[in-house]
Amino acid sequence: MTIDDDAVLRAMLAQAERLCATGDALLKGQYEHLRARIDALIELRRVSAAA
Amino acid sequence: MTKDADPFADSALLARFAGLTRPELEALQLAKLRRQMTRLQASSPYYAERMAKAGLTADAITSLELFAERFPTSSKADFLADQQAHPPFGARLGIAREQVALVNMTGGTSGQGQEIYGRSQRDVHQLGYLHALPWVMAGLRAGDVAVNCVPAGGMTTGGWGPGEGLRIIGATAFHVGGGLSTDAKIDLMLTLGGVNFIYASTNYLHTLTEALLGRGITPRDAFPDMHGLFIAAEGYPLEWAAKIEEHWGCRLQEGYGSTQCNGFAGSTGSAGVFGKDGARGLISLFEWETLFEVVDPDTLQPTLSGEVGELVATNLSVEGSPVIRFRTGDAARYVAWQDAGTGKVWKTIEAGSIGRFDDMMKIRGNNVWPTAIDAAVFAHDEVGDYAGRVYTEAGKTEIEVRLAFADHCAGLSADERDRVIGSVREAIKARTNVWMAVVECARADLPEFAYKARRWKDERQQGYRL
Repeated sequence: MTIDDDAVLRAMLAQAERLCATGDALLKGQYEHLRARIDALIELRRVSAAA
Repeated sequence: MTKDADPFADSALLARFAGLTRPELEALQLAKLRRQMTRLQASSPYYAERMAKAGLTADAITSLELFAERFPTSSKADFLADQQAHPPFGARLGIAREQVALVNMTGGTSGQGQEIYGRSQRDVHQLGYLHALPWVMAGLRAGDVAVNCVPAGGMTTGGWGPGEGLRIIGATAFHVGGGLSTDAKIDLMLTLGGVNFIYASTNYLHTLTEALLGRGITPRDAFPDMHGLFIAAEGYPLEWAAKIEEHWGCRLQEGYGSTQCNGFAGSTGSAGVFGKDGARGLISLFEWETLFEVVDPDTLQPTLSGEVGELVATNLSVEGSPVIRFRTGDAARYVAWQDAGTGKVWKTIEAGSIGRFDDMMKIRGNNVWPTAIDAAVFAHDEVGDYAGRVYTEAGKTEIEVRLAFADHCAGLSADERDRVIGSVREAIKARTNVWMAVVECARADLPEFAYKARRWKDERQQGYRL
């Protein structure tokens, strides 16, 4: 069974965005860092004009 | 962001660490230690051999006390020999070679050689976290403007950790260290529309403050939004700390860290460098990340609360090149958590007085640490900087302290200069029991240090050459 990398990353992004809602000053920046890393991977894998 | 942010109110995670009981903290340490040793037993021939020699397995480490009694310490010399036998990282690496994501080396200031550390991707995040942690505790928050005066990049942990830490906090970081002169740094800072936080070595914060005052700029007026000055790497006198806080109008805070700890291992937090009744404050150790023992360097027996001992460090989370019972050579006054009055169960060490056992100079029968002389000299606001030299002349040990007056004291009369020099001489004698010759020199004759200062030269060996 092949893994749909894009689907996994989209799910991870959604989860990371939930984490970013934290009010914890020590963790907030780290969660946003994680979210941005996943977002960057989604973007660099984008090969078509379709969203 | 205010000057009095409460890190424990702003971070539920930090509040949980602060709320641990001592048995809970030690149970966490033991669990992490056993996980670390299980991993290293399989992945690090260096540590596996030490475990075997001690007749230990990871499973047999049933208490922190047993670990401290049985597991052998390592020293810098051990690591250097390991690296030589198994270049470049040594057999202690503990991760696959291709998993090394960042290479750090120690500074080489000891003259013995540089330790090489190979860090994993996870370690790099941890490196950032172990800089972010004390700075969040110091009040730094997302969006704050932070000026990092420590030279960035290169081979040192101090070159990479601040960048990673400021990035994951979400602060707006200006990495001005190394690349800009002090005047250029000041010019830039004045254009930023507000600065909230400065990270610098003790020595460099002094240089920066002196340069500002020399230009007729009062830091607290020029940077009214400053809420944190965070220093590391060197000791200082309390008189100096008080003047720094007065000049800048905010709290001075300090961290203790090292390459071996993969960043900071403790900090004063928002309490700052002053304790009760104006005495020295305390650095609370992040014991859930680094297991610390404080020991007598000769007997390796635990140091009593209130006494100076050597810090022995064990990484509980680091994957690549972890240190396990590493003798740091750092000399610190240990204050047990029961005596610290911090409201937490974290062990503490005294702020502002951390030195090196190997920096000690034996002078005329006295043990003299450069930090003691720093404390005597920099208790005088009039002094810009100094350099010291121990040498032999006609078979006698001589000590010369050359000091330069601060730029803002350029107008002092000859009599006033003589008075300051005499006072410095007396202060050095009071702190070291050694009379030293103190002479004035031009500021340009003294070296400038962007990070750790090396103010002393011991030239006595040369004097004995025939």
